[in-house]
Amino acid sequence: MKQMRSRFRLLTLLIVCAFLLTIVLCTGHVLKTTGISLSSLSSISLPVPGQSASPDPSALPDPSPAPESTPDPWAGFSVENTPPGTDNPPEEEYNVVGL
Amino acid sequence: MTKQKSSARFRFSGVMLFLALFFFLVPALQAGDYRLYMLAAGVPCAMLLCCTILARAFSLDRLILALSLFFCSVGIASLAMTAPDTALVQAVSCGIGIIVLIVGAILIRSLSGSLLTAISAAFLGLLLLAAKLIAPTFTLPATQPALTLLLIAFAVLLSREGPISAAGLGIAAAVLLMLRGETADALIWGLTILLLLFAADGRLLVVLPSLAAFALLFYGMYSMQTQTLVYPEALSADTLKAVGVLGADLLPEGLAVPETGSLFSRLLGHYGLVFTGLTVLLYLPLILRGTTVASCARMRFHAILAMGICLLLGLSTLASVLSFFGFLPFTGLEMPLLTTSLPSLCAHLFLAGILCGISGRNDSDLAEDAHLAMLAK
Repeated sequence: MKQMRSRFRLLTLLIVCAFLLTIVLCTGHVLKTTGISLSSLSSISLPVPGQSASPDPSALPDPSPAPESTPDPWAGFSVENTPPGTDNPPEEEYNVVGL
Repeated sequence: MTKQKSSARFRFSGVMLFLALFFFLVPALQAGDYRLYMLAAGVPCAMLLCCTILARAFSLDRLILALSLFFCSVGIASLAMTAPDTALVQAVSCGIGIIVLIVGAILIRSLSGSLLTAISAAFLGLLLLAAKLIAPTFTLPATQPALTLLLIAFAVLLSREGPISAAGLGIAAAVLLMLRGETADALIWGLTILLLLFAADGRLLVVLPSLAAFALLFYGMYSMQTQTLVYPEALSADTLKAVGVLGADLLPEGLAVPETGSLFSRLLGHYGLVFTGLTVLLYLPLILRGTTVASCARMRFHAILAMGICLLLGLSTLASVLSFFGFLPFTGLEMPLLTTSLPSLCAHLFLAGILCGISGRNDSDLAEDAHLAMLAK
């Protein structure tokens, strides 16, 4: 009877682990399906004491770049100039579908 | 210690009652439907009555009873928003189930682990499983009641006669389940009896051949039924986003809601991911309490039966959740106590009643020991 009880404890542990694993699997599946990543959840920044909550606007880079400063990756591409069959975006390694 | 226990139980019962009231009163106030008001009054009252008067009268385990009633009320609540008539029918079914729970609690105290019990239960269980094969017009969902009877017979045989006869009964039941096309139930049953054989006997000479027999059986049936084993369609991102954290009043599209069977889909759609996840987690204290009851049982038959009930309920819960999210190739699996099928609900509540009865028997054994110790002084 003693041995049976110790095996019962082992089975209890197995059940608990199975439950926790199931919860983790299902939570991960839901997060993956909805496109929520753990890094996006952890990227919420809290204000540090002693510093202002809102950053100084003058320290931030200008969000709207000058038109001539940024090279346009699509500069060499146009509907008329593109030869047939080569209308793929330049970053082909990210084109998973292959269209 | 007694005062602390009773205050903890009082708080727990209070929380359960508050939740039950919240489930029905809010939709009743929103919709103004008299049926919802009836449920808002009836369900918490029934829970209060069962957890206080009936638990004391029949010496039932309050935690197991409260959790079982909570799952029943959650099942009724998941129907109340969109199908109040069905919710009323479900409430009546739960009422019948509570009577069956009390019958189970009383029966296990008087039931001895005799060979007559084993033969009767095994015969009835196998007959219920074979009925659909003998008479195809027999459409009553008798799987869960059959498994309940077979579990009782298995526990008696394992405690009294030994592992060979018990394993033989288990294999016969698994074969019948597979012939009926219920592969998921056969898998759950097979795992349950294998783990029980390991727990009760532990000898490799017993466990390994049983494992080999089941593996051969499942491999044979799997190779024959490969075409019918299809993974269910996984929930899309849109459906999950529509369900959200807190659910919706109307069930979102893409959530398959069967007319009969598991209420898990409805629960997810109406109450959201967080509440549904917490409800699934509540099965864990129910099972842990059952394993504690099994460990404290004096009779080997009671210990094996209680552990078997915990394994059956636990594995059913896990299989149901995993198949819902597409991890297992089964469809239509029911969560224990969250089903509209009356035979299945009664079978699960009967198992919960057996656990309550064994717990009550443990308490009376402890009280008798304390009394004898006092007399010996």
